[in-house]
Amino acid sequence: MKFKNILNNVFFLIFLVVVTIIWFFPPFLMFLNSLKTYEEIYNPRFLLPPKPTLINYLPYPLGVADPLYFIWIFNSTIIGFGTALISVGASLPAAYAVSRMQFKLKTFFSKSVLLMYLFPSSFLFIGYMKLIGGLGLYNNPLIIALIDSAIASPYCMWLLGGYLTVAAPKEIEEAAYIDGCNRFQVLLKIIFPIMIPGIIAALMYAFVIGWDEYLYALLFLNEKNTWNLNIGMSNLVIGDYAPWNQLFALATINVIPPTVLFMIIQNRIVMGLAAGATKL
Amino acid sequence: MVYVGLENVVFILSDPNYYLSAINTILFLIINVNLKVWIALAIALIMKKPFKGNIIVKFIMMVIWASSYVPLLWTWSFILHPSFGILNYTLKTLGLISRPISFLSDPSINFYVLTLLHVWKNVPFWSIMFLAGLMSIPNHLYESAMVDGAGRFQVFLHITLPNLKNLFIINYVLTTIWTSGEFVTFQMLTGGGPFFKTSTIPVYAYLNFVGTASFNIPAAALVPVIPFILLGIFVVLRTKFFTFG
Repeated sequence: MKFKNILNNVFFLIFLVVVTIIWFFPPFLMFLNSLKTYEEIYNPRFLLPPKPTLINYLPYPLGVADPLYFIWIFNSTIIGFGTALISVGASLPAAYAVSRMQFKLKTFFSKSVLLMYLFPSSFLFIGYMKLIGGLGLYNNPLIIALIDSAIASPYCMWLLGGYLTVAAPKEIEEAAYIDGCNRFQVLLKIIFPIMIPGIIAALMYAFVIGWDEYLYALLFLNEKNTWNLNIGMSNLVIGDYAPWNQLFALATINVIPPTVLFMIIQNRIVMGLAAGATKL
Repeated sequence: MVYVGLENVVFILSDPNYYLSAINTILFLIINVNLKVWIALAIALIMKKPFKGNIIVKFIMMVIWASSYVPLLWTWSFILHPSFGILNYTLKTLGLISRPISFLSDPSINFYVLTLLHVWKNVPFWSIMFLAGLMSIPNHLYESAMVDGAGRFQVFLHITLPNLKNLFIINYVLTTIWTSGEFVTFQMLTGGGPFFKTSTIPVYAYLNFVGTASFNIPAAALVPVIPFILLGIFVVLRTKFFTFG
């Protein structure tokens, strides 16, 4: 009995160590390599930087980084927050309407919302090019946020709809109406506080979609000062030559804001996903 | 604009690379989805256990979920590089191989390496979803099972899995939909592989019709039509689990 326990624990420990190494090593390597110079990276004998330098983070006169990269961070943030606000702003009323109201195509709509993802985003860009090219809306990060909201909204709708059904069933509203609330008070004082974990989970998901955007930013952000962090990184690679040190520095910066946001609200996210995704 | 009728369709359907890409896509989907579901479940089970390093695993999963895909792919292409990659260096130092393995250029293994990379990036998201699902299973079910004397594996098989059934199906179908259009992994790291051996449907369309060789947008738009229809049929059979609200 005890032997079986020990064996179980050993397997668990081995699996834990393997998982930690496999998933932790690449970002860790990214961070370490960003502190090395170009020559040091090419020598695999050094895992840790022999002489850690910040040369890859400092703008041109002091280091080797492009001075515009702070603006790139700002643009990525705009796209991320824009996507989050627009998607959730559109998905929340939609989820509420589908769960509370009756209208003609309701079942069709609610069943097919996730089928939108059958169109791979690498093909929708053809239509977008014609649309946005025709309207001349280049070099505007908010347009990218709008496109990414279209990509993130179906999942947000599904998540919020599920969460609404499980966490705030109709009975709660009806009880509030009986007690004399009008519709607006019900929305503000009862539904909204219950929905907060779900809303936070949806906001985070949409933010990550916007922050990671590459294809549409590549197509529609042409001026160097409107670039995304991802575009800035990919622009450093010219043919076969890749300045790995700068790439890793930008990649580390790319990783930090979403991770920080996640760590701040991680408990709420898991709670929000729990009720939304597992409709019992 | 010139009306060409079915010329594009005939060209695509008679191109053996199209079928090769389709087979690659299907193979990719099958391996990918199955690995993701089970590995994510295993990691979720680890994250659920209350032990001291619990928060570290959650933190790592969140970091990978929150990070952009493309920089992580670059990091992996750096790790897997035959000359200065750390994986080959470690294997060589440990004496396991005598010549470095080109993970990304060797046609016999690069497809599987790319599949594993995609699995690696997406498992954290699903592991967090599974964790949410695991946490919503009421405790009294486990307690009554322990009182009745069930072993660990029996508990897993008869209590945990049935309660996660919804999440499993959602995972399978959503993962299938989301990875059916996978373009970046194959195009960025191998450019469609030596002679389309690692190309999927979107990569095929890109290489043939959108790259500089022959710019033919209508043909590019035709390429995913049949796969889309087939996938749509497969998904519609499962729409019961997609309803929201």
